[in-house]
Amino acid sequence: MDVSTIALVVCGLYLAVTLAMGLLPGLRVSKSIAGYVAADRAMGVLVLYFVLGASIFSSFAFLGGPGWAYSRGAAAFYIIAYGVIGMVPLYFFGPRARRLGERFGFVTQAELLAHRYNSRGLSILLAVLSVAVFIPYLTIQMKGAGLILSTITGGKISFAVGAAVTYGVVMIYVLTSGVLGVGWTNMFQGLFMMVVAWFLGLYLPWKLYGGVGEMFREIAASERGAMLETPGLAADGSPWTWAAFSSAVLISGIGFTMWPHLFMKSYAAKSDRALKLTVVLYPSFQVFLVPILLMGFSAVLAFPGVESADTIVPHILVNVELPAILVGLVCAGTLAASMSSGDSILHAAASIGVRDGLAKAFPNVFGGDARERLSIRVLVVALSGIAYYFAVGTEVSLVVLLLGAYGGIAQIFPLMFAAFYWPRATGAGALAGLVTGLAVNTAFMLHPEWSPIAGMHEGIWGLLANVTVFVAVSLSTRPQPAETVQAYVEA
Amino acid sequence: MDSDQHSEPVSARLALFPPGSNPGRRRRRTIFVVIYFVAALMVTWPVYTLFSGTFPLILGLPLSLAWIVLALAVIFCALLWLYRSDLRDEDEVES
Repeated sequence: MDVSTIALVVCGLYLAVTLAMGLLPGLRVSKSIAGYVAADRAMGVLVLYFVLGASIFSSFAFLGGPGWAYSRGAAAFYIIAYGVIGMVPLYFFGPRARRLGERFGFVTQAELLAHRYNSRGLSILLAVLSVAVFIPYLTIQMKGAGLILSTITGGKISFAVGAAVTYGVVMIYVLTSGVLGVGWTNMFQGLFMMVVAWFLGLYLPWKLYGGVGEMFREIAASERGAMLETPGLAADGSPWTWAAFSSAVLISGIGFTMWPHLFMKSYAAKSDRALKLTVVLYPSFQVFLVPILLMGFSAVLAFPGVESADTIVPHILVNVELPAILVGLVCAGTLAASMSSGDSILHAAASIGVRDGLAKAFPNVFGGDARERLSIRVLVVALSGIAYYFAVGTEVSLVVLLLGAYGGIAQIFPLMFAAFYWPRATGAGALAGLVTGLAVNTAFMLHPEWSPIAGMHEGIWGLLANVTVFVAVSLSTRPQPAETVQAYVEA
Repeated sequence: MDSDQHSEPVSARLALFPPGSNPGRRRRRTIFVVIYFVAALMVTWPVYTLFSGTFPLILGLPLSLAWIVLALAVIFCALLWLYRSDLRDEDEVES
């Protein structure tokens, strides 16, 4: 058997195991919305750890991370740096959200905010924002899956077929088992990725240079040596600025726990302790990004001049003489990275679209437990179709869109913080702040030349405007009823 | 209906701790937030600029990368300390 056939067999086995792991929990969970969306609020530390971990280990980390290290050097360290600050807010927000969820029956992030700020408009706006950023996110995951399968097989499996088969599996277990399908498969996929990442991240420098230290010494001594000094290089190869690096770290860190699919897992936790312990253990997941970046660095001197940096991992796999079984495992590991993020996003996008969007805007058509569950499943299929269309049918640079989306997601942070810690925050203030923040963020994204500090992430300007308007409008409008506010301050 | 008439006035100040939380818990949370901001400074301008070079290599990694891993270790230890002290608090409340 040739390399691509063996690799395919390994990937096929991986997909079969994933499907089985995804279908099993569907037999256990209750048929209610709380069961489908929040796992009956009974998730323990182990599953929670991998579900949250998978949101870091996406196609972007597995293909984009090494791509950044390869082409932009130390700039890629921002991916680990924002993890230092990113997860901590959930230690404080998560348990409060979990208790409020239990008390008021929330299963999404927007439900909590809409209740605290007594605003249906806020709920619908957040639903539109979520679904709008989730579609490019999901599309990138699909592209990752299609890309790795078509490259490894030398085109025998086409990009379109690879993406369709992989996400067919995801769709089946998301439809059947909801968030528990996501949880169980993520556990399997997470362990699998960790092993593959560490092995390959240490093996490649050893094989190509004789060790990790030797590799960095050789890069430092070469004409590309400057790339190892932070803040590294910009996309065009010129030096990146400290303003750009620092603001990217801050915005990604602030936005991280505000991603709706991540935040809503707070409701799935079975206890405060389980949720807190998951946050405590989280840095151990982040360390796994180190070998991921080592994979990219190993190609700097060995394979110079690869134009499309995101394809560097498949490029290495095809060009380094690796045992076929290993190629298969890496390929499956990349699929795992894509699927473990894609499933969570797909599940969250459909749940939020229905719960916070359609059911709020058209309660007569989409309201009620049974109709909501049906609508969520229909939306799972519809969103998969849309993302698939973008993945296969268009060449839009979605990574750029996704990085822009982080600035938008970060705008939710002031609302969440104030919900728990600022009793005087009002619905009008929250809505005005969020709309302003999103508008300013988008304006600076489209016109980076407007920025007073060159290279500063547009999300920073959005946040400044957001907080200013939020505070000003809140202070000049009537306070929320004390009973509602009390529940949040004392939660 | 005017909600002001039957509810207490809402304070315009931040309410960082739930009412009645114990002083030890408040102090530890304040210390944690300070460490958190130190860790944030470690990975951004200006503190990170002092440790942004390639050499010395630490465990084979450039200083610029090893420094980030150190920041990750700092936040991990701080979280672990906070978690354990939270557990002690909860046990005291229960007993």
